[in-house]
Amino acid sequence: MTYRPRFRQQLDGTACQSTNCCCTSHAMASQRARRGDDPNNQYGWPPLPKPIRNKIQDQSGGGCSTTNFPENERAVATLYRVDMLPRYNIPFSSFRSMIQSGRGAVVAIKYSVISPTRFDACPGFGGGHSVYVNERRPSDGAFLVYDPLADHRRAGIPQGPQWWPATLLKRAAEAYGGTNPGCIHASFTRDTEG
Amino acid sequence: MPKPVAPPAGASKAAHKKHAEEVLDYEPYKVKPQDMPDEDEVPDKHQGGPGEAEP
Repeated sequence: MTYRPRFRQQLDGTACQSTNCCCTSHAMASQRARRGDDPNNQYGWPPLPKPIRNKIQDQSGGGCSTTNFPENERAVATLYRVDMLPRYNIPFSSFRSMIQSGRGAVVAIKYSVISPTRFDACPGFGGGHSVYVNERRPSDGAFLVYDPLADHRRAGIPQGPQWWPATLLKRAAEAYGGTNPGCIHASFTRDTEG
Repeated sequence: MPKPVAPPAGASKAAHKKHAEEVLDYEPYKVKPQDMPDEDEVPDKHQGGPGEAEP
């Protein structure tokens, strides 16, 4: 069975919670990349959005501004000895195949695509967002998506990882700003399934 | 290097692993678009646990 990291919520009461989706997604990706194995260094374990944000501030500055794949990649490499592999404008079919190969991924999505669905975890929000995708279900092709906003903070908000239809994830990722037609941006973990 | 082509979903795991290596090696996919926006700020906030008042 594919290793499943613990779900982490973005809205955790910290100063940068509103812009921490990419940090939170990378926290979950980092735990997947190490299959939960503590690197036993001075930075602490398990991976959490706040130390990733703090490291980005150390390395790149920016306060609570929004973050990107390279910033998070550098931060988790230092904190958790995790090598993320960001790739841009890849066909969704290649993304699907890479998940099937044994990797997890942080995926950039446009939340307005999610808003009309039961997976909406932030009514009123429709901007750019990051989610962590852990695996694909062979029976129907659905993807296990860890949306950092899905913390059930009130009734109607989903809780934790959800199986999103492939068509929904595809549309949301392809709608992210600046992607080429039919392509998405994603940052992959190493292959954890040998 | 030619653009990698994904195997069908029903292909073997070995085929997906081979494709993954091709994707990771394909240089054009490593280039971050200059106009790629960061994610946006969400309007919602932490609503606390027991004992914390909602705004």
